[in-house]
Amino acid sequence: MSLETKALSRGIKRIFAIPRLSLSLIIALGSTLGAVLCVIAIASALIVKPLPGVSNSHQLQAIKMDVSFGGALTIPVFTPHIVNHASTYFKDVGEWAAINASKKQITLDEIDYATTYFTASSNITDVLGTKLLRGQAVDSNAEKDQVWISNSLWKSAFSGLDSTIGKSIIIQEKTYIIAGILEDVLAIKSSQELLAQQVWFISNYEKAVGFTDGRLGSNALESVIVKLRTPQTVMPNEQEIKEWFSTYIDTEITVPDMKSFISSMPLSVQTEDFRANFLSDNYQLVVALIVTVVGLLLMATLNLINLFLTHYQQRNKEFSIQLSVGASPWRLRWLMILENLPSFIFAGVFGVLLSGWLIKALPLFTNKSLPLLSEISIDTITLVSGFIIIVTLAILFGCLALIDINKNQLMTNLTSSGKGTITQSNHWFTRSLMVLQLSIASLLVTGSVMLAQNSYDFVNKDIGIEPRFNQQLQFNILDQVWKEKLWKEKFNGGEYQQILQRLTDIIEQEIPNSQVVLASPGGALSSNVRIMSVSNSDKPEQQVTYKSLPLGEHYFSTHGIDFRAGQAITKQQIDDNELLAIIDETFAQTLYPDTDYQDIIGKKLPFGGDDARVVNGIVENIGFSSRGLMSTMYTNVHPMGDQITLSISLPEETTLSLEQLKPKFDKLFPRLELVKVESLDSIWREMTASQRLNLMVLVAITFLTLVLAAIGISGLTLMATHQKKYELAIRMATGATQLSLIKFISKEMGILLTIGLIIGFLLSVFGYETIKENIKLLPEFNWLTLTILDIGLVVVVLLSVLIPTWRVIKQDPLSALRQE
Amino acid sequence: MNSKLLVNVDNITKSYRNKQIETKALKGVSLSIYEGEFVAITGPSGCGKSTLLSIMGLMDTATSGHYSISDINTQQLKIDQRTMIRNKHIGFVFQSFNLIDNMTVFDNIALILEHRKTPASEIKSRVETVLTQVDMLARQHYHPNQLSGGQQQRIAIARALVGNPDLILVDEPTGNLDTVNGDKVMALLEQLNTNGATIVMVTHDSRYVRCASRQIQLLDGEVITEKRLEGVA
Repeated sequence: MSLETKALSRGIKRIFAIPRLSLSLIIALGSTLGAVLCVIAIASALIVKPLPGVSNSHQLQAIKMDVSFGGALTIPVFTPHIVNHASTYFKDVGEWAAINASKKQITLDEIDYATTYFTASSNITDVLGTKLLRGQAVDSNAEKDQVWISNSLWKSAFSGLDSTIGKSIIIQEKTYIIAGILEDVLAIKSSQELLAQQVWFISNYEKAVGFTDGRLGSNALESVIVKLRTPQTVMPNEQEIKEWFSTYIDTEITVPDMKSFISSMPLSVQTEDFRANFLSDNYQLVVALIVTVVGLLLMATLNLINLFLTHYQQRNKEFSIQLSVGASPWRLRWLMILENLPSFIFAGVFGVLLSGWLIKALPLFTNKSLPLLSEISIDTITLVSGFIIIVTLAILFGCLALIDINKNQLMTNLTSSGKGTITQSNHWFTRSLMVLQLSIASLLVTGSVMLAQNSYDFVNKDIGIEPRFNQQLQFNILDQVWKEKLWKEKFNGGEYQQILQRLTDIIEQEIPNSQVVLASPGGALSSNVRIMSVSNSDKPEQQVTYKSLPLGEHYFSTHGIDFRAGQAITKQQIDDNELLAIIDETFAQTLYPDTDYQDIIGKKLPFGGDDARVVNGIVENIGFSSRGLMSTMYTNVHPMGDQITLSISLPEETTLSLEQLKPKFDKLFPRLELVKVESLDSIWREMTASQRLNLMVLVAITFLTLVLAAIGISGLTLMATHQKKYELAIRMATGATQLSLIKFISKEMGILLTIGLIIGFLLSVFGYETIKENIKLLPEFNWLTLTILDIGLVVVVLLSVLIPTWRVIKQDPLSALRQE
Repeated sequence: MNSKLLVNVDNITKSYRNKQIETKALKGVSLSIYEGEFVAITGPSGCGKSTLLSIMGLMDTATSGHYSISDINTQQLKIDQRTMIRNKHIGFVFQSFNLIDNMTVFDNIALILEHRKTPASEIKSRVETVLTQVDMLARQHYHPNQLSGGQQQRIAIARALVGNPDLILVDEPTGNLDTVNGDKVMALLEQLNTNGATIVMVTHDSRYVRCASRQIQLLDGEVITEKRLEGVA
């Protein structure tokens, strides 16, 4: 057997013979490698590989144009008509297209399929570079009754049969013909999860109509894309786009109020590379994850280096003997690389398996908010990366084998008995490792705790609404023709108001002790808002912008929203359609600055003319930061949407279920479909689910970092005490107290601890700010958090030093000497 | 003497510095060794004899001076070059044997040849030859910790021989042995020298000096006497 074969064989035996060494390597390296490979797989799918269904991504730019209402509240402006106009105006730049995505369920042959509906311009597949697999190409000849379906839906619902082309399907009571099959498109920016099963509705934007009513945002487009004519073509800048839009307003908007409204509101324009736009915050997230897992891998590696150096130190004589008989240092290192290789291979395999499990669990960790989840897998890039990491570390660890041997003075190592000063040789390398570990730990823990604090604040913030025992019933409006009719009616006295009243009466009758407190399109926590902008008749120069929200009789008391003045509107007043309103504090201060709230009650609002409402009450401000602190007015006018959501106050511990209510309500209201029954609390939990998971993951990362730091430092302390064991034994035998021995060991470690913490502190302060410039996810730096963390780290390190030291010095000195 | 000059040590000094204190282990030592000689280097503890031997074995480097072996000037050699010379030209026998416990007797001896990338069949035959020479063939599959001190020293001698070195350096070969085993080891060394091996032995045991053909006495890092011994041509 050659020396190389013997080395490999020894390495395999060592896995079982020295589990302290090999298991530590396999578990520590394997688990952090698993995390690294998972992040590499994510980065590969999101940043490196071609986007599924969008082969032209390198030529594409995404453009966003919003009207801003202050805070973070913006409303997209692009409509099909505007996109078509831009396309003509900027035809030298490239081709303009748009696409919206929404999640819906369709029923085919009595089987329900969760699908993504794409509504898009007729040039969308040309712009995106989406492949047509079967049937008719998507172009301006697309008929209104034609749809295209995705490859995944074709395979699952139609078994991939060619006869699918030309088949009729019924979607929301309308009949469509399947015109073609497209490849799955998974790389479209959308607020909803994109599913592989897709249905495409195509519109010819040349036939689109412009603004015909006062509603902004009602048919806004989520995703507007430009395919640049050539690689050298540059997108128009913000100024040019604003000039064009100004032209559009002048020439195309015929509704005078809309014209003046849009002209007066600040417009924001953003253009961005398609992939960067698609990924948005996820790009930053991936970068943050890469930094974190690399930091953890580095810490695990440093821990293992300490462990291996201890192991090598015990074999210094063996290495010296080999050198003395003529083994070249590089050959010895090569043999050590081979000896370590089996353990590293095991660690690598464990890492790959773990990364596979983590990838499978990603939908749970990310609450499906990470795009292209189905594309993330252990691909070639991931495997090659894992291979490179394992081989690099194996080579590094092998090369460290002779670090303690003075190759110019071999006799020193050959004649050493392990007792004198020779074994306590300078371990500048291991000391540097400890300082490095502490510094990395400090930086990682600072970042993760600050992010965790951010998530905690978000999850536990006061939203102004108390969920209590409220539940929501959500109905879809099935009859589209009927919906259009209701939409055109005035609310007060109209059929829609009657439907809501009837629903309320039946719910309160069917469900004992319940009260319907609100009827709205999306519910109390919905992000659907109706923004109104009017002139203040008292101050004509002031344009008043506010959110208009519906109310019910017990809305405020049920949700715990306090009145600052006045009172709620009564049921009688609601039924009589009295022109009353409840406004929030922000609105009161905007309209009537420096006026007592009590004096505002009974005033007529300075807009609305003859239909101006009277202030009946002023309530506290509520809302999420995403909506901004915008003035809010509550009235008994209920705008229509695609859904009707009723918030119901129930007695304590009463719950409802969809199965319980659906048969009855579907029978009583055949043009509505009860689709969801859920509590306000569970809705809020779902809205904050990803933040809660972030919090859990960040706490886990913090804990893991601290554990790795503790293991590494205690390992180093053990090595230091092992080196000094003979000296410690002599000191014990000659009468040193245990306290003086602790001081003796702690003195050296204390110096390293101080240096490590100072460097870590400086890295945390300056490094954090530098990293934050590139990773916008990170919150503002917090001195208090850093101070508390460093105190915690000091405690962890002190324990990691003192506990192993105590274990050594509590031995009987004679037995310690005899061991030597 | 018509033998070829094998080793030339010219004005070698060796100093150790520990913070402010400098210790001079060798102060300008010069000597020559010829092929076929058996030279004993003697002196009291701390006189520098083991230091001189480790420099001759390229285990340590001199602070100043020149050292050549087999016409190779070792002064400017890099670590890999020194290693190669150790492997090809020098065999070293340590006082504390320095055998590797997790290897068998066979593997310990074969190490030198394996580092030379000698074919396996040749390794087998050469190792068995030297094991026979030291009368340890039956124990080739034992581990060192299963052998007595004398047996381990014989294995160490076999390891030094297997590579057919030009020079065999022996550091206190009987230092860790009882008298009986010490005599056996010395008899083996004498026999090897009779068969043509060039041996330089460090010893402080005057009984064994008589086995040598020349004695060099060191004191405080300097050569004080050098004399031929009786009964050697």
